[in-house]
Amino acid sequence: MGSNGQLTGETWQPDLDSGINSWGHAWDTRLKIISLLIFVFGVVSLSSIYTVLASLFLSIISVISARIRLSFLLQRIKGVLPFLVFIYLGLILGRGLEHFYDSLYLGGLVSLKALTSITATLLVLKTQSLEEVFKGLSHLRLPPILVSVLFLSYRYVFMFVEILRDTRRALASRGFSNIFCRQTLKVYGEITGALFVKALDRSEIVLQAMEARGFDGRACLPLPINSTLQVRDLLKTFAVILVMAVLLWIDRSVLA
Amino acid sequence: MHIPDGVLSTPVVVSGVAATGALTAYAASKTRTKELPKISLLTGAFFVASLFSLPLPGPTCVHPMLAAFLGILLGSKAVIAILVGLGLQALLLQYGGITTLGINTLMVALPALAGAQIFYLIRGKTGSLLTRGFISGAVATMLVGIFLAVVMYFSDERYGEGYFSLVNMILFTHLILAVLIEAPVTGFALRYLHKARPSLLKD
Repeated sequence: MGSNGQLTGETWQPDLDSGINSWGHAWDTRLKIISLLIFVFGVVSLSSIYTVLASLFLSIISVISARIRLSFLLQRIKGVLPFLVFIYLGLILGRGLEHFYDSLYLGGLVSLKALTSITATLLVLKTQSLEEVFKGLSHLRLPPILVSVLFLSYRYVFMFVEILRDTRRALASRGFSNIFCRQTLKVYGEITGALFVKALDRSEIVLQAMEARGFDGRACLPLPINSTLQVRDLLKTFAVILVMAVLLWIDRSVLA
Repeated sequence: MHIPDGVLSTPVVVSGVAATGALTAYAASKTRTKELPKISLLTGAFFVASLFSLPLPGPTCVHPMLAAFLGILLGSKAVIAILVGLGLQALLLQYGGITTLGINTLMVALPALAGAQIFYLIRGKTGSLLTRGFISGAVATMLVGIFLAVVMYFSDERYGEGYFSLVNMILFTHLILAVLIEAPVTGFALRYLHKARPSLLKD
């Protein structure tokens, strides 16, 4: 999608590596999601840079051993980079040279936590399709309405990307230039309005089609999942909990 | 602006998750099954529309939030659309984080609801739909900035230290974005919507 490079390339194909077999790919989706949540919530509550570095190291080792390409990690870092740069700027400019090293430490701690979370998330996103992740979520007692909206929205996103691509092409063919002026903002506002009108028009047709197929909002939830719980899945989850408990203990007791 | 994991303190993160959970449960209880396709399609449109690259003076560009616009169209159900939209952005594009999804949702959803209220409150006071859209879009974006600044300050006071602090930079950039981008885009989008489908706005 042109200047919105995010909508092209491999980031848009979250299950690109799902054909590979590894311990990560063979892990039950539901337990993998729970483990990720425990791990990430644990990491953000760490306060020492040493324990955060240890958790990042473990995440990277896990990703490599699950045969996930590290190039995915670099792509995903781009998403958080602007905010992290903004934080560094705010800390260093705001607090001045007097607190330079403390600002650098805080910025580093925040960046490492963000990086650890991104790395750990890869283990869930790149070891099965995103639809399997959604199915896993439907088994974790999320409200059925939320799961339905998540599923449907994910499908519609691709449709809207196509519409937007066509609109951009049409604008380019009419000599539209993306510069800051009233006319540009008017065009963007009208494209936004048109996108939502198309969405609302289509929602009526979709509702009729879904009702004709017996949809009642919860009939198909929780969705059937392509895995069964095994002892090895529980062991992997237990290992994550144990590692996080040890890291938290070191963080709170040893390094405090 | 999406807050990534690790930036906020644990109490703030947990409060965000709890508050968003309660708000989502309330919105879900008000949602009828028949509204699911509408909410899902608008969520998809919100996701894609918020990826527009809008030019700013100079070599930079920004993505619109469209908080007020979504609030006006969906009312309290905008909370579900925003939660799912931001969740998809975090999963697919790594905009934001997992632990911060609660706070990020609150940060956009509450101003979205406030923006919608303002849009309908000033109905009689100013006749132009463009002006009402302009005001609601600008106010919602400024509220996002204030919410973000408060959340950052409560997470770590060091974010607020100094004249050029992170908190001040957040407030300043959101003020600029509110006036230069969100206000006109929301206004023009609402005017188009009113022309194309007047029944969609409760005017």
